[in-house]
Amino acid sequence: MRRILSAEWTKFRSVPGWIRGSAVAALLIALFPITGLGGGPPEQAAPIPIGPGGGPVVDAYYFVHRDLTGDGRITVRVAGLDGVGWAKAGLIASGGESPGSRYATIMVTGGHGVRMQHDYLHDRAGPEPAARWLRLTRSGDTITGEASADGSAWRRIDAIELPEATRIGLFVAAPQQTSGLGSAPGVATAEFGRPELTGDWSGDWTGHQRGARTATFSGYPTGASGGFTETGDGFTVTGAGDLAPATRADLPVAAAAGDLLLGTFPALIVIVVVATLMITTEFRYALIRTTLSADHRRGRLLLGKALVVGGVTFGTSLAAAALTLPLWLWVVRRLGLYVFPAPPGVLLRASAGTAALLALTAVLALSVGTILRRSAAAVTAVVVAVVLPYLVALIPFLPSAVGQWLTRVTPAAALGVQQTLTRPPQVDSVYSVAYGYYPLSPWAGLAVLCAYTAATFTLAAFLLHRRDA
Amino acid sequence: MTDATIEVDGLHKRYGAATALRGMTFTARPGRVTGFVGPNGAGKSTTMRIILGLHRADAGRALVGGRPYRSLRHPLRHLGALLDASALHPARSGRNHLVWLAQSQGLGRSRVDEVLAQVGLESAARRAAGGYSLGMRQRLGIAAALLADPPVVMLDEPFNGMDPEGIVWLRDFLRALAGRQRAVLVSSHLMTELQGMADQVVVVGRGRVIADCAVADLIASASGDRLRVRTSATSLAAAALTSTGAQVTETDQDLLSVRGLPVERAVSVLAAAGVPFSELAPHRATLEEAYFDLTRDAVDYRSGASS
Amino acid sequence: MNVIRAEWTKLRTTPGPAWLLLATAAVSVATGVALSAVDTRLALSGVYVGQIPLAVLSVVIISSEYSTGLIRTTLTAVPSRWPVLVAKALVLTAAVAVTGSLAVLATLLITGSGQAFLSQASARAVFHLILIALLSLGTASLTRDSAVAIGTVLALLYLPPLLTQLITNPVLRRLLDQFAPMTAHPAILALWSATALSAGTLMVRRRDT
Repeated sequence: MRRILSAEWTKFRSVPGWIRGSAVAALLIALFPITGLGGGPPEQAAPIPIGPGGGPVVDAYYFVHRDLTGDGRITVRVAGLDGVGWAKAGLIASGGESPGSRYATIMVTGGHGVRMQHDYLHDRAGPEPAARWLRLTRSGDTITGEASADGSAWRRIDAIELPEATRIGLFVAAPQQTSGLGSAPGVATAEFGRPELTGDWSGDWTGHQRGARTATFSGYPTGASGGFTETGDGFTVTGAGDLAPATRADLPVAAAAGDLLLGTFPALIVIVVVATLMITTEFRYALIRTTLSADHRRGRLLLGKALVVGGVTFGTSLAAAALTLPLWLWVVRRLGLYVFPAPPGVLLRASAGTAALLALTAVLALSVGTILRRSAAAVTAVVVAVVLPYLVALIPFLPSAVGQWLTRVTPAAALGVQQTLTRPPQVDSVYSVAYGYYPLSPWAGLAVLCAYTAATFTLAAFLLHRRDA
Repeated sequence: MTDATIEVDGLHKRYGAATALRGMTFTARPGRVTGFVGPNGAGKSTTMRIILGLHRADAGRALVGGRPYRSLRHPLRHLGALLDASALHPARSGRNHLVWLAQSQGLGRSRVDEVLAQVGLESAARRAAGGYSLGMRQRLGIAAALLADPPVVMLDEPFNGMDPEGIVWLRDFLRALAGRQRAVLVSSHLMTELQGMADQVVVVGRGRVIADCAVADLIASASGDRLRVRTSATSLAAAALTSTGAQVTETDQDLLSVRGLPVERAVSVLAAAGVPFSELAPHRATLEEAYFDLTRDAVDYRSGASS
Repeated sequence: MNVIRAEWTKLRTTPGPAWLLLATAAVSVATGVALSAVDTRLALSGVYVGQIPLAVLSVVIISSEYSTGLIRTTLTAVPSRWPVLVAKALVLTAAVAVTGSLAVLATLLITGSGQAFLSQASARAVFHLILIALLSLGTASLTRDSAVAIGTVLALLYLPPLLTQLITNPVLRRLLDQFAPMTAHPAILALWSATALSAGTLMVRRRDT
């Protein structure tokens, strides 16, 4: 095997066009994001709230509140909630006025039962989903949330350290309603019983729309607006917004770090051309006879070629992606475009995954070239198999199920290895391929391509073995 | 050197409806240049591909040094072959072509420079092979065949596209290889290329061997018992010789071909008749003539284009 | 005229072109019918996928001559060279016009809007196929190698729609849509094809073969 490898490596490096092709592919990965920089970032009127975790958040809801000094408790019954899905109505202890500040809530939801949530990312379901009595207790720095079905038997859900909480009250929020690949502002109205208060509460009940001027708040549907009315035995509150991590649909102007790997596509085409030529030129110039008379182990020959082209592609692409991705992130952020944060581990996975994706595609092209023995057909087949499903998944007017299905079962699933966004389970949003969300996890997506490549490689080795050279 | 042989035994091969080989059988032995001749389409290239394990025979077997080619661990150390001199990637340099071949056999680069010197291609070795003339490609192909210094060398039409100087060089080269106890198998569709070089010829037509014999025997059999008589008085000479019962034909101006008469008898008959002659000798057929005698019935494509 | 006949004979006498034209029609119709299930106005969008086998055909028509060395014979027969490319373009145009029209007609009949055949949209779909064929032909005569040519054509066709994903500036985005071969107005696409063909002709004339 070592001899086949060194022979195939010599073959590869001694054709200047192939070396140039590999270099061009790496350069495309490294430099292609430059094409997206033209014209500068879009106008962005409102600030993006950043949560305590560092990520963008939606911090918008209708808030009816008073101020609490020292220890105390608020108890309320949610008599009704006119809202669906993750529409929220309940109690909140707010940790500050600035968008993105900490909080703790206990709530009734439109379709997910009673929950206790805090700081945008944390969500815990209550033991009795049908409970309608909620209460928040502050004791020292700790906020404790409890729920009850009858107002007498209370079950604790969670306790959160929140020393900065002063403003406590009722809230109603309704996130965007998604349908297919689009979304529209949502609104919800809740009927509250009169809150029972213990402790030192000051001020009157006042209400306002929180986060009205933030980028992640999509506003009210036309004709609707937030507000609260005091009824005989409680409050009616209408609100919109959410308390959750922001998704791409909340921030269409922002970019995902994975977007900066767009050079993968042109690089992929170049690499497919090179990998195909590695085998089709052997057929075209009858060089395959010389090759096979030097070593008749045809399967190993194919393996040798695959390792060479796969190895070269992986190495150059990894270097290009891993070195330039952080650099581009820095440039793009300096230019004022908001990019969803991604930890270094995720960036590294996206870079290494891109390199693996390109290497596997190269091996796929080599195998298809072996099977078809014609360059044009082989290049087309591979580019179509890997790129076209992705492109179709981007088409806005197709049912989103088509895009999800295509990026699940075709080789294009591997592009999911570039996703740098995660789907928070407590948010219903537009999780489309266009927004950078894939149906499969990064490595599962890559495994799909792996399976295709392995199957094609096996068929190629079988045919190469069986056919007269 | 016992492994310096190629044994081909009863090969049959069909490609769809076309039958390429029908029981091809012959042996190439050490120390000899074996000519492998036949018209285009006779099955020479197919036989060579089967010897190299590139194509599978439907029946029969081909052995190199007593073993199937595909069982050899370092095949180029047993058999060096040149099938198609144009089988090069045009962008790869000749030297790099040899380097990868050497690596596939676990040979060092020094061997590459040695064979390049042997075939006289050092100056062009680092240029892209796409710019090589056909003669240079042939030399590169021969260098590749010699790379692992194999006991058996097999060349398919190596004289194609070579200039006269190259042809002389290659003949001497192959003779020298045979002199060092190598077995050399050289295919050609032109007998003249083999004359004076081959020891043995295997003449093939329509997928089987028509003749397999030493060059000397072949020429002798084709020469028959004819005499060449050169004389200015052709009609007188013809009359005198015919009277003895011999068959006489005029092959050229001043030249007669006589069948059925020993040399001594012819001399005395002409002398007795007082016919002057400037030459009288047994006819030595060329390899070409012998070949045409043999293949007259075996040509598939008489005016087929050369491949 | 002789050159055109010769090129027609070349196209006719190998099985590849006929199969690829059939694939072009079949893929266009199948995709169109599938898309019309989503929205009947998309019935003729099938050509955006059907153009793929067509691009292969148009590339191979010229690059196979280079890979087999046939180009020398061809150019020896027509020393001024440019008529060869013109003849290839004309023959290809005729073949694609017929195939494309049949495909469009079949799509419209299957989706039940056959009377729309004589509409501007139908003409535009056929025109699109012809122009893509000519663009591919020109690219192949520039690059000579089929793999490089088809890679270039596929990149020209399918990369811009991907690129628009990254471009946030709406003006640039619209500009890209207007000039990318896949989404451009036929007049702009014709400009692409004409540029590729004339550059190809120029190179075929100037280059040693």
